[in-house]
Amino acid sequence: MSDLLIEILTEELPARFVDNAQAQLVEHVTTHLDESFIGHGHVRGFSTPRRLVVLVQNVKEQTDARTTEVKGPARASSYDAQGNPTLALLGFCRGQGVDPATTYAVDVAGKSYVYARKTVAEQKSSELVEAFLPRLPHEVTFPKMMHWEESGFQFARPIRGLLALLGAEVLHWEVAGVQSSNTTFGLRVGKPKPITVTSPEDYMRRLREAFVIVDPAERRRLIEKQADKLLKPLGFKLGDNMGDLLDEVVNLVEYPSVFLGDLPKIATELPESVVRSVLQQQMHSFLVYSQNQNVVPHFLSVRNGLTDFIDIVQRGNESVANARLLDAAFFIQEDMREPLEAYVGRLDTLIFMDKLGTMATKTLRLERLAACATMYASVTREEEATLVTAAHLSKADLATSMVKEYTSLQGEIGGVYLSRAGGSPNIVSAIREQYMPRSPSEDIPATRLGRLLGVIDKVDTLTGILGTGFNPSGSEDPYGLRRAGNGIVRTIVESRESVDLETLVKKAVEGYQATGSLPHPEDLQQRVLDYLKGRITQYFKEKQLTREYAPLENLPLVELGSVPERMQALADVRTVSTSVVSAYAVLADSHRRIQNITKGLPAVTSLPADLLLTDPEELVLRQSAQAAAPRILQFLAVREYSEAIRTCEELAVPVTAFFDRILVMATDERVRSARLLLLCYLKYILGLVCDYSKLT
Amino acid sequence: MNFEEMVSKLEHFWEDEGCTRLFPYDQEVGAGTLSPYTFLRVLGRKPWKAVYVQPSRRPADGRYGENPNRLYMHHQLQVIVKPPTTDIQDTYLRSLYLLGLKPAEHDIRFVEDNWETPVLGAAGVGWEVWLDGMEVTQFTYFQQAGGQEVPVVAVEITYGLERLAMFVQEKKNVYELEWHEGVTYGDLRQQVERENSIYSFEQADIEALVTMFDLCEKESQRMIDKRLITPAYEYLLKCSHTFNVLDARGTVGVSQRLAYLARVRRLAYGCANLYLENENHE
Repeated sequence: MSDLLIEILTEELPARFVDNAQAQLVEHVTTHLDESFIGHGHVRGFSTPRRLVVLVQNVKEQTDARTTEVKGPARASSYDAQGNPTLALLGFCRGQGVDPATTYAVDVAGKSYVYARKTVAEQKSSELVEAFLPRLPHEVTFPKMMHWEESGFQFARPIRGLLALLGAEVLHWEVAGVQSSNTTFGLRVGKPKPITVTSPEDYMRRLREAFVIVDPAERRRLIEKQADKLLKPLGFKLGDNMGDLLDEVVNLVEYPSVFLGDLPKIATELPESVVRSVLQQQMHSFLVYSQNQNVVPHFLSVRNGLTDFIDIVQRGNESVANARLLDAAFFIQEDMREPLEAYVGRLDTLIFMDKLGTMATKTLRLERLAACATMYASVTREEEATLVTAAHLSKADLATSMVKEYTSLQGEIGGVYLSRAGGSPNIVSAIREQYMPRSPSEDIPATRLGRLLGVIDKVDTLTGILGTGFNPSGSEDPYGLRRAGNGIVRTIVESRESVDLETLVKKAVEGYQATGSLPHPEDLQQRVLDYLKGRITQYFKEKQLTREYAPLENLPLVELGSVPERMQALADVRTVSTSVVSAYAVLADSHRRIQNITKGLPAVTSLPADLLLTDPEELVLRQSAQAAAPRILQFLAVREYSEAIRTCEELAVPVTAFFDRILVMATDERVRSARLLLLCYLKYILGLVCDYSKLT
Repeated sequence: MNFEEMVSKLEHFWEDEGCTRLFPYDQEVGAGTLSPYTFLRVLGRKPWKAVYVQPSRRPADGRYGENPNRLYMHHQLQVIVKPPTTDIQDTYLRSLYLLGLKPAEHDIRFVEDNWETPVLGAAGVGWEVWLDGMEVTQFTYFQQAGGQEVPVVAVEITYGLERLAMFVQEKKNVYELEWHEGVTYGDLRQQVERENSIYSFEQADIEALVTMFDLCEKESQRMIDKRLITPAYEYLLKCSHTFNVLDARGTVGVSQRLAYLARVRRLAYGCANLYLENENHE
């Protein structure tokens, strides 16, 4: 047994592709080995910006001999009337090298086929591996591919070397004009010199000597260790949530050397968000913090290479940081010659989205939505007025030089400019928070107005995109539809805010009709709501709360913000329930029966006084229901969900008695309809709390 | 090393690598890619290797000669290698050696950056090259030009000469660069920068430029119809620059902007198609 090592050497792969490509390669190599019946041990992937590597341990020299069943022609066409083998059968047997007499019949989906059992001899693993190697690079896909040589082969970046060793044996393969060899290359320092490798272990050793750490996990540990060594003695640390940036940096270097640079003076005059953006996004460097979370005048960066001459690299990076921050300071100074309001007037030069007009019309729509906030959110008139001002200014920063240069600072810059000009803190924070949460790991807006502005903005975006006729199926999210949808759901659920999404979406559709036409306005409100419902279901699924959410799924959308509390209440009530047959189990059964019997009939919110009910059980049920309803409503209004559920449970006994004694489908039509109406009323009351039939 | 020495070293380096050394195209362009030495020659199957300096005008980037980094016109050194050699990255790194920039003493990285010029229907995949954090070169494998997949890929290497010179000469302000012994970049360019910024931000006659655009577009289309690629393309370049001035002047609305770009693109496709038809007839 020996180890198998495969390396695809490339020009620098985009950092964001590397992890995924490594995983794909591992998966494909494993599949090929298994499908070729090659016995093997652990399959591990490695990668750097310039290479994708797979190491398979304990690969057997050859496969075991084995028997295999091969499907032949249908039995019906295998023998003629005299029972002699036909040409079809003889041909099959010749192809497989078996005697027709040894074949046998097997039924497959009701039809009989001829099968042959044949023996496959041992095969050399090296030959089998060589057979699948050339296919490997074709099987790895990237979000963006390119071609570079005459065959038109596609990969993320050009392949410049191929290497495969099974123990000491060099395997031969060719892809896109590149021939495999027993050489590779180390870190780009000095003239490139080929490194000859003699075995998989030798590969790891020689590459390390050539300053390449092929294991990304090890590079990550090295970066963390070196950073710690530099920062700890000074009492400093990196910021929180640096994981994504670290992941990226790990895949930008083959051999990491961490250094600490001095932040230029200008940094102290700039908002932290701007400095962070310049350092992290443009320079892949880290801001450094003191123990009490203040930015200190250093930054941490990772060089691709050794520590030799690292002072030169450090000075270079410091001067780039200086130039970029000066540039930012220049933009801010230029931008602030005019108030934020002035930039609102320039939004007609910026496209919101293809077919959806400009940012100026988007702003108008947001103002309109803000101006009727009392219709869909529990806000005061004063809050509504502030929201309108915030909406009016919300997109203004998109026209500033600063945001044009640093797009990720949208919102942030508007907030900074307004705050420096002495704007109201409420509006400043709303503008700053409107795009939150930008990612699944980011928090939702901290302020009420920020949440509302964010939800309005995202609903408008969602409505617009679906109104262009875009079909949101598939895994791609080119217009940020899913992000907008998830942002709305998270904001409402996590803040427990009460927002009437149905009204809001209706108003959003009207907004588009008022500011221009949409290519596909048909059923738009419904399509937006359906999309949002899909996101809600997905949200709870990702939280592994699908079962808990099921009984609450049919609540009106305005109740979305109350779902977590309702879930909690349902769980609480069930755990304290002590009776042998718990009330909720009874109600679950009754609710299901009510739903079946009243299928197609609407729930009713009250009962007429002269309803033709005479039997004691139905009279008791009516009385209990009418007594419970106002109390349930009261509890719901003050968000006392446990109390509402308990009140509902009072109906368990009378409803059971009703179903035990009363035949709903009475022959007398007036009696029947009275009883159905009573059940429609119960459907309404139970539905206020949850869908008991989905409680499990 | 002064600016002119640096340029001449790079030019001769690529000349030795088999590139034809050309002079800058004698028209206003926004980037070296717009020169017919790149845009037309990357089309079709014919091999092509060239190196040339191309002054590139971006009116909207003008800063009245006051900003240490931004310019109305900067200089690019453009290298085209079609088809690319397999060691093209190493060749590029060797060119940096000539400027005293050794990988062992710096941090030279190829950081993903894909490039697109919608106005030419051109797109490529590649990197920006970082030198100790500073972006000094754009390195691109052409994938599309004139709206079509290229049958033979060309590599385009665009050195930002001012950036590189600032690094080599350790200057923080572009106007302090030494162009020739005793002659600074500022001596040569600062007044020009100021004047051109005033022109494109304040003085350009909008109506006249709109008319000029229309006339140049018509002339370009007329030449496409006559199958004369060079004059057609030269009038396209005039359209493109005229539009850039109008854009800097801040008078072009969004939908107008898209319409202008679409008009230039139509001419570019027209020229590209003619060029390919000619090549196929040969």
